[in-house]
Amino acid sequence: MEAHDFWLFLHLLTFVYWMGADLGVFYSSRFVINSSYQPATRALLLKTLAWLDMVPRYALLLTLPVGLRLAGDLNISPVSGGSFWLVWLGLIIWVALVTQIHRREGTEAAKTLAKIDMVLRFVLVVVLAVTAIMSLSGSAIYGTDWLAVKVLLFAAAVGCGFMIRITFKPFGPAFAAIMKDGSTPEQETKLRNSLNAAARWVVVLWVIIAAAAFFGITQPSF
Amino acid sequence: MEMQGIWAFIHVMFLVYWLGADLGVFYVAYQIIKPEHSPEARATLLKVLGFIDGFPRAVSIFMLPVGIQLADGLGLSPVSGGMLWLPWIAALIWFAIAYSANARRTTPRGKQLAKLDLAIRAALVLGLGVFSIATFVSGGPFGANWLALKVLCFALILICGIGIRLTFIPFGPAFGRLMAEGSTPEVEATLKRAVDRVVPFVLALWFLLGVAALIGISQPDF
Repeated sequence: MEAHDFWLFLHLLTFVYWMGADLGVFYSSRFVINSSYQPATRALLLKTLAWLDMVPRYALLLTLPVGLRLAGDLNISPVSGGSFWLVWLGLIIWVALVTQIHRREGTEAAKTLAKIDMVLRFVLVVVLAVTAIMSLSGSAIYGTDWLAVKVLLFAAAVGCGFMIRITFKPFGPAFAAIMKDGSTPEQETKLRNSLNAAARWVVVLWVIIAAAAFFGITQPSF
Repeated sequence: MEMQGIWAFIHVMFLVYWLGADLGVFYVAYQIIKPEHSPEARATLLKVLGFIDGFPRAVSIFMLPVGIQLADGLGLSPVSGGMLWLPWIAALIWFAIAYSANARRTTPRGKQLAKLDLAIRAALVLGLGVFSIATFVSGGPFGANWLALKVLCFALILICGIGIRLTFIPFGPAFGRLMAEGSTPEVEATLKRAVDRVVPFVLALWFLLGVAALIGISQPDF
């Protein structure tokens, strides 16, 4: 058993807990937007959803450095050897950032941190997408085309995360209004529309990460 | 693209919807036993639990024929060639039995089917256990020791599943009483005890699934 096998196992687990935990998030959300349930029930389902939703968030962060490490073992990674500690440092900072955003939810500090997080994600999407496309069009940044495709898919997955956040924005205020003043058709519509719009991006996200897994498993040459 | 890659992908997706989805089941179960939640909230959580739990239930059954396909692709399976449809038929029948047993669990017919399902699981534990140990001792019927070890893990996983089922028996009636008569210290204690007793089996099952995945990834020679 080599170190590479353990990294591969960890990579597999990040996928398992990303996509597998998302199932519970997705299904619980149907009850949160159902106005025939009591407010307390809906709030509890939202709490459940939020807890489960943290698992895919961390899995997403972890999957990139682990993937780079795997690619490093195969000699197809642009980051390797001595500079790899930078990737781990980046991961630690990012995990700390995401944890703080979750812990301080509702505060001004959390909003600022969330903005920083969004900017970081945007930069990451651009860097990964550009390097992947460059690699696919001939400059050997990633050692194989399937890896470049995986990187591109990962960038698209983070992009879907953006869209989920944006579409989900009206949800919080609408839910708070329903909890405070009771259910109104107007707020329920806002809530439902927001969640349904986000759910479409979640499904796109699932297809993308399943495709990324498929490329990683089959490693096709093309 | 070879079939082997596609089977490997399906094998991984099954792990996602087994191990990953199970996390949701686990978390929701802990919320259900909290007496401070309203009966409606707890009943809704039970619905969520039932839905998510359907995935591990289904994929755990079909994991075996997919595993056999993969093993056959490596030339390690005792079932091969023209016989490969047999495990699929068997899994379909088993799934039909397990599914109806769960869907009709309150009826006498459902209870009968549950007994049949349990008998199938017990027979599989015995059969798979004997075949894997025979492989360690005499080199067959499985073509490699790592595969025999994976099969042994699967047999142990089935034992954990049986353990979960048996220890969870008091939960259903107690939850029924909770819904019908409201919360009493006795009912709450029964619910909590059922969940607490299931935990060791669940953790053992997750651990064994992880071990099985790691063996499949590293395919160690011994």
